[in-house]
Amino acid sequence: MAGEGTTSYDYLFKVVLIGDSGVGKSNLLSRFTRNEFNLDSKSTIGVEFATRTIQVDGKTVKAQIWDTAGQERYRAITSAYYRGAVGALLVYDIAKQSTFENVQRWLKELRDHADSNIVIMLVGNKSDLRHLRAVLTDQAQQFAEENHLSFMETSALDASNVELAFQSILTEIYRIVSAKSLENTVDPSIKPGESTTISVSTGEDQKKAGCCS
Amino acid sequence: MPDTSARPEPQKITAMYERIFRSGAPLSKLKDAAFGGRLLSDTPEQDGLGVAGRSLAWKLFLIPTTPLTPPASQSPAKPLLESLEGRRKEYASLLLEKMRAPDGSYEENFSVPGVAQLPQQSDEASMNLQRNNPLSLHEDNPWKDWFAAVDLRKTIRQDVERTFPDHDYFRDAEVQVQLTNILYIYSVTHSDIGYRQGMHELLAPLYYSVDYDSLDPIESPDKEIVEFCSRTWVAADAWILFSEVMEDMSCWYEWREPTPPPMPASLQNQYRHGPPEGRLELKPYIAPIVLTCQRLQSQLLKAADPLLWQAMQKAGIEPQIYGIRWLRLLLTREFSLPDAMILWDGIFSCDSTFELVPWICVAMLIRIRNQLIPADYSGQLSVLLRYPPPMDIDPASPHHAILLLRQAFALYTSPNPSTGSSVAIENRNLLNIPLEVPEPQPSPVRTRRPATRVRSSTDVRKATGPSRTPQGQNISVKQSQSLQLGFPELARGLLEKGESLGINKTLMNAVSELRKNIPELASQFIGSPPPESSNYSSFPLVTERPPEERPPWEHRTRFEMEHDIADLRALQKKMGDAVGSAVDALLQDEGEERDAETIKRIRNRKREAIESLAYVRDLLKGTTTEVDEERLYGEEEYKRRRWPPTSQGGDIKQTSSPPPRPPEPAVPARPSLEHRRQKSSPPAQSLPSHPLSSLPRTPVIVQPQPELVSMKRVAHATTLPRQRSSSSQSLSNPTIESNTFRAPWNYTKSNFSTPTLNSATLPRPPPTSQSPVSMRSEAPPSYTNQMPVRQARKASNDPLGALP
Repeated sequence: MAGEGTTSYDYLFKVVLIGDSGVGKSNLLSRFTRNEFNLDSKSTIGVEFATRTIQVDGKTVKAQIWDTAGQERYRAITSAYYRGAVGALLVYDIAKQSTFENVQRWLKELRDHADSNIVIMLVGNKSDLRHLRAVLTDQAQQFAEENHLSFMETSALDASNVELAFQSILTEIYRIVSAKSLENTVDPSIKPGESTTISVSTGEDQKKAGCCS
Repeated sequence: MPDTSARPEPQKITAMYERIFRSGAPLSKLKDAAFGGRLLSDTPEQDGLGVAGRSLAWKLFLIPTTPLTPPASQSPAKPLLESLEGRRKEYASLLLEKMRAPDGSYEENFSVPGVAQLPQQSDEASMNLQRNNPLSLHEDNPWKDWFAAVDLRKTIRQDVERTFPDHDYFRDAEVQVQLTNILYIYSVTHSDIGYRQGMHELLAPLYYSVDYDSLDPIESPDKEIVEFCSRTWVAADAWILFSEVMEDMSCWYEWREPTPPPMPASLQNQYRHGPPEGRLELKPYIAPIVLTCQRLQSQLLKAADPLLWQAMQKAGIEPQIYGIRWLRLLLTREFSLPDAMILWDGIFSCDSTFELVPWICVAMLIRIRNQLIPADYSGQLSVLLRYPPPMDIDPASPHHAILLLRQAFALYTSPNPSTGSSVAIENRNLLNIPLEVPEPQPSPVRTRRPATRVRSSTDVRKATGPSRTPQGQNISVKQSQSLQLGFPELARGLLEKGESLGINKTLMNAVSELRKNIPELASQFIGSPPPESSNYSSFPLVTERPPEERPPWEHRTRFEMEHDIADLRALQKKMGDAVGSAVDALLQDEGEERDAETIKRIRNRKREAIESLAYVRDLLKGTTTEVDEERLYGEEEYKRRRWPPTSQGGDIKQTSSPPPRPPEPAVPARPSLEHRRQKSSPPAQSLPSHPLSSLPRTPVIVQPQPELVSMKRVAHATTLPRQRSSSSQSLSNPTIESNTFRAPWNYTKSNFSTPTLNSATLPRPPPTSQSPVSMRSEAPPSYTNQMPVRQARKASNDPLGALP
């Protein structure tokens, strides 16, 4: 809270990390927020959370990044986890075919629980393991295009593309949000424990609530 | 197995065994000692982790024996050992059964304790290769299950490899194999839960402790001790302890509705397995861990430390976010492993084993309340998800984990705020944690809007005492806003002074009405939004932002919503006025004595009134959205309204609740009772004679009649019901109401009580008192039942000026 928490910012974006257990979500988080990598980090139980403030188009964007246990499509915290999330990094391990196969299931999870307009980026992590590659870049790229996701291969270990991946998803979110947006369709009395729908749609002008008659 | 140097000398283990099982100390005394940290040494000997005899105590506390209470003459170890031996065999046979591939083979290097020779691969001819063959596609191919089991072991293995990476012990390959086996056996025998992440970290300390206390037969001549602490059975004993712990904790790992396993029909009546009947009702499934977490925060914490609960609630912290990890891992991530083990000693020594755990969590929350209360959502979350390490404490005071246990137990036995505060006091005395909650740091603010904190010492503040209300957020407010928020304070001060001076009730009502109306009025004049609402979402809105800059989850600010409500109210008021005018018009007497000209005018007026009533109906029904004032009031009345008192802007007029003006100055004022009595009858009689052609539907004429009364009352009432706006309620009852929402003046200090500031320096004089004056000059009152309010308003000018 100290340090990071006291900086001022223009935007606050919540981004979630999802994907199978062991694909490196926590290390992506620690690489991006603290520039740390831990070869044998503990498995995540429940939720982890970290923030980092970056500049996008001259605006200060505070990214609030949530990381959760991969094994469980963690039902107990699903609603809290996805609530308010405007971006998702769907991570798989390029050296493990099964984690890529499960991407489809994670997309369904996002469809079920997250906002329909959430910005999703497919991330093939562990790109340093070239000799063990099991998922071809082209294959993933094609999948991403079919599902309208952006795509990037990263390595939390050698830090390649990690910064770029977060930067680009945050920029994308920023563009959408600043391009204008805000559908006021949601009941203001959101209660914890319910999943809510938040629209990030670009679309018709909704400038409302200016001055009254 | 790790080398023996990591274990204590055998004498230490035997000494502990003697102490626990042969000293004749009753079980309750041993449990008390363990709870108070007196049973075991509290300084780990080896690897920073091991404490000799710990697993002996855990075995004693956790493993049930038959008979439950051994006769006093007998060593308590005896039945325990018997129980252990039985379960060890069970583990061995489970291993043999579950680890065997469908062709009867085992993995390489697989060994089962107590079994010298693994059963040979069966070459029986009876084996159906059609089905039993790894490549068979047959439905019943046993290899399918086997491959699923291999996958499961891989999943477990992945977590086991990541177990406590800081402790070398868990990097040992053999240890990892054993941990994987135990978890695998547990998950296949508990298929409703299976393996869930976190179990590995629960098992690991159990396994370590058993292994640490294990003895080789050559290390001690005492057969009983060697048998009890047999190194051969380390994995089995760890499995036994793990199963016992999971007996109580498995519900925290439950992730789907348990399905009662299928059983033979013959047994179904005798034995009911699985959840009791009550659980089977049609309710959305909520995982027990979530329920426990919610109970932890909204019941236990609320009972012990309402202030902290309020702060966390206000920030929108969902307890499962931190609770899941705290509970599922029994706090191994919140404390160092040796400290967590001390906590486990206490937890396991309790009879109702895991009831204490949520209370430990509450005590943990109280310990960090100074960090939680001033923090905002992300601040609180950061502290909760990275529980701060214990501070350096006086070596004379008890270990912080022991202290936590003690506090949890105190809270458990008497869950109330006084226990909560004694915990806080204890923390101050022993851990040097100050009682006073620090001032909140200025929270992150949008760059363009500098934060200005305005303070004062209003009685709202004073009431909360020196410990401060937990204003988790601190709000950046513009100066103008604080002035705006000062209005009610001023009015309230007047009210209180007035009461002491004995000013009559009517006046009081008027002032209180004024007070209640002000926040809303002011918020319209000064376009500054009131601060964000609580409970809006889990995301606190840090500052008010223009909509185009707001992140998408902040769809609508409280300001916008209040604005809409204010619009609605204004419209309602207009309609009320219109209905009022209409009623007045309809009430006009067409007596004989009037000349034809007047009668014609009156009739015309009445027709207009009915038209306007019809229009009000349309508005209320929602068939029309745009408000056409001309139609609303009728031509003449509209004209009159078009030129309002010059001194005021249009928006002020709209919100300053002008009383409905009479269409006809000549209408005599009636006593309200008479007015009401006559209201329904004369218009009803006269209506049919009116030209109705312009009205869309005839029934309307009759219908509005009963509504007229109610509408009018509503219209009349709207001057008061503004106080229903949630925010102003809390003013009269700030301490209670502030729990549920944050009315702006509840947390924004206003500088109104400073002597230099009086009404003269206000940005604008209160409009309510002004408008009636100017209006009165234009149109004399016709409504007698408006009079009290009006009088009051007139009078209210006086005290505003007269009082200092």
